[in-house]
Amino acid sequence: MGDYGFRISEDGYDVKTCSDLNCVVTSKYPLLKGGIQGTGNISATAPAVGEPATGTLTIDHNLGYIPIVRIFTISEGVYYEIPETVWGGDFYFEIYYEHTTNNQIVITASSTNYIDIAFINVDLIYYISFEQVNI
Amino acid sequence: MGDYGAAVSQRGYDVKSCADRFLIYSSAFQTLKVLMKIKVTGTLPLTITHNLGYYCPFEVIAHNAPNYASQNWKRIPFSDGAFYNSVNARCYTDRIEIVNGEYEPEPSNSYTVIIYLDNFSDVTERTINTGSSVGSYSGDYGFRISQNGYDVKSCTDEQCIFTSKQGFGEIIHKKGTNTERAGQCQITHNQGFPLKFLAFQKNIYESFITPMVRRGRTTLTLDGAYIDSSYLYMGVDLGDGNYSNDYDFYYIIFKNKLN
Repeated sequence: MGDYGFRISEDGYDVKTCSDLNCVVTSKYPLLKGGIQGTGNISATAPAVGEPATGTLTIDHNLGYIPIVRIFTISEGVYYEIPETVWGGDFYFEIYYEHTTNNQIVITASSTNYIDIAFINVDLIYYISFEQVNI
Repeated sequence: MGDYGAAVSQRGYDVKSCADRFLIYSSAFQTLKVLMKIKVTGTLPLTITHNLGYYCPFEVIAHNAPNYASQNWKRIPFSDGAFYNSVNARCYTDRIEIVNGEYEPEPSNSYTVIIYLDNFSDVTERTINTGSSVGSYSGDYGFRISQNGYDVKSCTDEQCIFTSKQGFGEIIHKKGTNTERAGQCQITHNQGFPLKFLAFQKNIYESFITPMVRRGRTTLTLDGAYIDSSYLYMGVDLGDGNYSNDYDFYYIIFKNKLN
């Protein structure tokens, strides 16, 4: 194919001669495309001291392929990205992780406490990009 | 320079007056550009050459996770309570390496590596609109550019370089590198609400960056990268209540509101 395309340069750069790095968009490279976003919650209580409190949240995206997924947990006004692991001294432990299928995302949160009944109650926000991963 | 440019808003928002975070695209802001998306298979370590000459944002997604049941198709590093020991990825100025953890080596596996063209040169924050307005138009509309070889009228959204159909933008609010090496750093974003971010750390004695993940102690410091309504915080917990001074931090803060 011949020369073709579409590009917009950053302020101060000549769109005809600047590098791709100085473009805010160029049809030579796909932009990361946002797709679906939403919120959710996982809550669970452990059956006994030393046992994990584990909960899952399943999100249907129904894209038919594996997309890029980014998930953040919310705790006291602070936002962390999953995956996360948190220790509290030698008696407390939390993990957060996700896995993705062609139509769903499954987020797992688990907390274990060795001196008390563990519980978990976490709010989440997720972003699913249209970018396909299973190539 | 005078007023100029192109912008596309989310469906239902007035492109001329909506808050920046409701834009899908704006030429006033940068957006991550996908340099390459590649599948690699084999026994670790695996190397993917990019030859950009600088550190770039990247993501690595494992197709399978044999050591971690039911965790297929997930970003690395894995969360297993021992990040130091799990599969991780390193970005050098010329390549990405996917490397084994020390204690739990992965058998042969496949990974999708996404490398962005962008670098971590400073982009200062800029706000054009803070208000929001919701329109009522819901008919057919839009703007799309297909990838080379795809018919823009019939290809899927995933085969587009850009489509206004996407639900949210990946617009960059601010990016840069922090080399103060003074423990935990705080990057102001001045938006008044938490924003989506990407963060990488670089040990000053190494020549690669790795994704920042939280694996800290709740009773001591808040480890890794996290954000609130005022700052993006980045720090590497030493495990004794202090942060290491041996790290530089590479970050991208997006316009997306987290709460």
